[in-house]
Amino acid sequence: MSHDHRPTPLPTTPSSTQPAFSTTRACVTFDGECVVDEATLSIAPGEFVAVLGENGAGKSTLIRALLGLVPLSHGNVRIHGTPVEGFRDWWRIGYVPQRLLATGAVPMSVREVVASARWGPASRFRLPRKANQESQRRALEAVGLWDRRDARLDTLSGGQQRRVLIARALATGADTFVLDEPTAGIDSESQERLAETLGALRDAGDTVLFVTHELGALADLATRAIVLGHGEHGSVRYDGPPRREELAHHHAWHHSNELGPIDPTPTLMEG
Amino acid sequence: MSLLSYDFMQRALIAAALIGVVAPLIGVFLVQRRLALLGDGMGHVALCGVGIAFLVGAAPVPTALVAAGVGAVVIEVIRARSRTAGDLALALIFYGGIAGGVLFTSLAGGKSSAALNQYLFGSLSTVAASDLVWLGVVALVVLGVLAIFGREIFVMALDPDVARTQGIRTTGMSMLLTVLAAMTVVIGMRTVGLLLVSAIMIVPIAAAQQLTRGFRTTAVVGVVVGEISAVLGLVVSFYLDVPPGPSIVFLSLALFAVCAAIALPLRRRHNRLAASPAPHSSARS
Repeated sequence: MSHDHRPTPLPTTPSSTQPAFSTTRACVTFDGECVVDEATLSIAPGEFVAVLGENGAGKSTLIRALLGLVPLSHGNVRIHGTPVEGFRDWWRIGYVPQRLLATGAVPMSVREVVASARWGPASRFRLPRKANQESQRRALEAVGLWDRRDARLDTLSGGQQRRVLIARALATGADTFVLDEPTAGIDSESQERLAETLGALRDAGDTVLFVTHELGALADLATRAIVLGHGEHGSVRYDGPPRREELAHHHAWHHSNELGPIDPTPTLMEG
Repeated sequence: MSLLSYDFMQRALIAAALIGVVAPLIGVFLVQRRLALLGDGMGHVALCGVGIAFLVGAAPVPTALVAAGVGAVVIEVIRARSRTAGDLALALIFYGGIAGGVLFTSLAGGKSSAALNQYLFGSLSTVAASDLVWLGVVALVVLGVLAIFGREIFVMALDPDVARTQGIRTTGMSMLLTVLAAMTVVIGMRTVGLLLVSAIMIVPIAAAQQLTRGFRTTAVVGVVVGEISAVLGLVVSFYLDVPPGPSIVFLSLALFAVCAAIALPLRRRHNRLAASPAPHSSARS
C-alpha cells in the first residue's frame, strides 16, 4: 500500500528534528514494584523499532509511559521534543492498544470506530470532512475489512477486531505509530498484509514503534530492536540493530506460546 | 383532540416531548459506559433538592438542578480516585438523596407530602409555564453540549487510553457526561418522575439496540422510541387518570418487547449464516 491514507501533507514543524520519543531514566512503579526501571531511550523520527522481551518485562508499560498513559515515578518522557504532560500535537500519534475495545454494550459499526480516530479537542467544532472518509476507506482496505465496514464490531472475531484497531490508528493521519502487540490473534496472511502496510509507513518516513511476541513478517522490518528485562542496569537489556546472535543471547522470544502462530525458527535477524 | 384544549396538557406534552428526545441521547452514552443505573442515582439526589426546595420555599426545578449537579460532581471526583470507593460512594449518595428528599419534604409539612408523589412518579397537571422555560433551556444546553462534546465522550467510552492519545481529557468528559445525566433527570422529573426518569434514558436504547448495528442509528431509533413512549404514555395517563411516569415507562418496555420479538428471528438467521462459511472468508477482498 502506498502511504496516501494521509489526506494532506504534514506541515514540517520545528520539532521534526527532535526524537519522536525520548526518555531519561524513566521508572514506572506499580504497588512498590518497579515495572520499568531506569529506561533511557531515544527514538528518532523514521525509525522502525521492535520492543521485545519476556512476559512481565514491562513492554506495554514502557510504551504506555511513552504516551503519558501511566505516571512515571522517576525520570521524564518527551514526545517530539515536548514533555509528555505538555504535549498537544496528539494528531501526530496513532496508538493501537493491546486490549480490544469494550464492545457489546451499545452496537457500533466498524466504520464508526475507524471514524472516531480523528475525534478530539481539535475537531470539536468541525464538521466531518470528505478527506477523512477517504482515509477511513484506505485504512480499512489496508487491513482487509472494507467489506465489513457496516458490521457490528462485536460480531467480528478477535483478530478482526484487532485489525479494526489498526485501521483506526492508520486513519488518524498520524506520523508516529505506537502498536502494542498488533499481531496478537491475527492469522498469518493478515500479518503479512500488516507488515506490508507498516512497511509503507516506514518508507514514507513515519516512526513506528511496536511491541511483539512473534518474530514474523513484521519483526523482519525492524531497523532496531529494544529488548526489555529486569537487569541490574535497568529495564533495557539490549538496544541496537536486530541481530540474531544479540537477541538470542537476550532470550527475546523463548516464552510466548499463547499468542497465535509462532514461527519456531527466529527469522528476525539477518546479521 | 380534546386533551389539547387543556393548557396544562399542552405544557405537559411539551415537557414530555423534551424528555423523550434528550433522555435516550444521554442514555446511549450511559449504556455504552455501563452506567445504566447512574440516572437512578441522579434521580434520588434530585429528590433531595426538591425536598430542600419545599423546606425553604424555593422553586423545585432549579433547586433540584443544583442538587443533582453537585451530586454528579461529587460522584465523579470520588470515582476518579478509586473505582471501589466510587461504587460505595455512589450508593451512599443515592441513599442520602432519597432519605433527605423524604425527610425535608415531611419537615416542610402542609401539602408537601402529597406533592412529593408528583415528583416521584410525574404529574399531568403541575407543569407550570415557568417550569417549561427551565426545562427548555436545560434541554437546549444538554443538546448543545452533546453536539460539541458527544464525539469525544464516545471515544472515551470506547477506550480511555486511546481517547487520551487523541488529546481527549477523559476525566473531564466523564464528569461532563454525569452532569448531563443529572440535568436530564431534572428535565424528566415533572412528567416521568424522579423514580422512573432513568428508565426513559435506558429502555429506549435497550429497545433500539435489538435492531441496530451502529451507535448513531441506536441513538436515533432510541429517540424515536423515547418520543413515542413519552408522548403516547402521557396521553394514556390522561385517559386512564394515572400518573404519567408509570404509563410512559410501561409503554417503552412494551416497545422494547416488540423490538426484541422482531430481532429474535433476525438474529437466529444471522447466526446461522455466520456459522456456515469460514469465518474469515468474508474479510478478504
